[in-house]
Amino acid sequence: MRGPVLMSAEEIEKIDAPVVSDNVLSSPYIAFGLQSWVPQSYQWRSIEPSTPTTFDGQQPMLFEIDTVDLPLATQRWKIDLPEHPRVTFDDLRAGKWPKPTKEELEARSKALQLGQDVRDKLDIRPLTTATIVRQLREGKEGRD
Amino acid sequence: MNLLQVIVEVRHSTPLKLFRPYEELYRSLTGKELPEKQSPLPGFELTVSEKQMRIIVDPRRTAIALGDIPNIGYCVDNIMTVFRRISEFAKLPPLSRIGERSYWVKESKLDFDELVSAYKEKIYKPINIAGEAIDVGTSFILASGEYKANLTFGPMESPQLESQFVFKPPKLPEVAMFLDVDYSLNMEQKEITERMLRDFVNTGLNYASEQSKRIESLFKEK
Repeated sequence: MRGPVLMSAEEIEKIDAPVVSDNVLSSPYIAFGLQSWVPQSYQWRSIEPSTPTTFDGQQPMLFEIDTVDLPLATQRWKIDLPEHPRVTFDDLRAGKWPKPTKEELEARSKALQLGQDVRDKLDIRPLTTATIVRQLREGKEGRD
Repeated sequence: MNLLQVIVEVRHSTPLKLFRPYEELYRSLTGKELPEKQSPLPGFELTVSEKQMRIIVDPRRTAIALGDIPNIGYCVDNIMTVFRRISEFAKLPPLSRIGERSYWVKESKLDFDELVSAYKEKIYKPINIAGEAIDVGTSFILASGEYKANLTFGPMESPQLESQFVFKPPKLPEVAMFLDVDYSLNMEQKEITERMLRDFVNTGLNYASEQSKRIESLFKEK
């Protein structure tokens, strides 16, 4: 494929359209540059009027250094999960949550069982619209 | 696909004051505008070689190019830190456009001609010109809410691939699928905030990542 060109609108405007003579037609005509007549997308620029995202500066002053200290969130935030000592901030940020440990699974199962027991003892059932309508008709309150 | 380069650019609606010192000085001393417009000072470009980072601050835009991207979080952190430092030094004018361009590469086990054929088969109808083509590339503009994304993708060989990057990656495949996602929003005089920029950089990269997965799945080699 033709590679994307990081070209600013200003640069494109600088491209001169040369004037050449045409003996056959006996009159000069403008030899348009490619940008003038092909769709803009030909140059891998956006078809929109705006120029693409680019870093092209206009004759900037150039500087170069080896490195610079840029504190990252990884350095600011430290994760300390005793059950998962290997899990890092980057893991959590990337959505890589640790798998639950055996103890956690057991505790979760116990909690679910406890919840189920409470629900059974208190006879908790969802109060649906149909139930409410029936109770209103029959003049009863509470769950049936 | 692997993320190998990111450019984030904010385009200013008015030139940064930093580059028009005489206009500012004249105005503060006289209370009037300079009778003749002065050419703004040249832009500033800083290359941080170890981090494979290039920072550009010029009258009309502030941009950062990153060539070393171990993960999206790292990329967001670096970009935000640099923008924070720049805006602490010089207030960024309201934006006219914000854009994030990411380059994605996936090595192909096919040779270049085979990969071109695979692209033609998946993307184009079997018309005569498509059938004769020895190289192809495709460009689509997608909308994502108020944002637009210009997707350009196609097969590439290593010499061409190399020329795409500001910082040459240590190892490039001989033949690869290449994807360029330019995620952007044009606006009128919108104030830039840290939250807005962070959300944009994050959303743009996640969007591009999703597109890269879609394209990769389209060309999944058996």
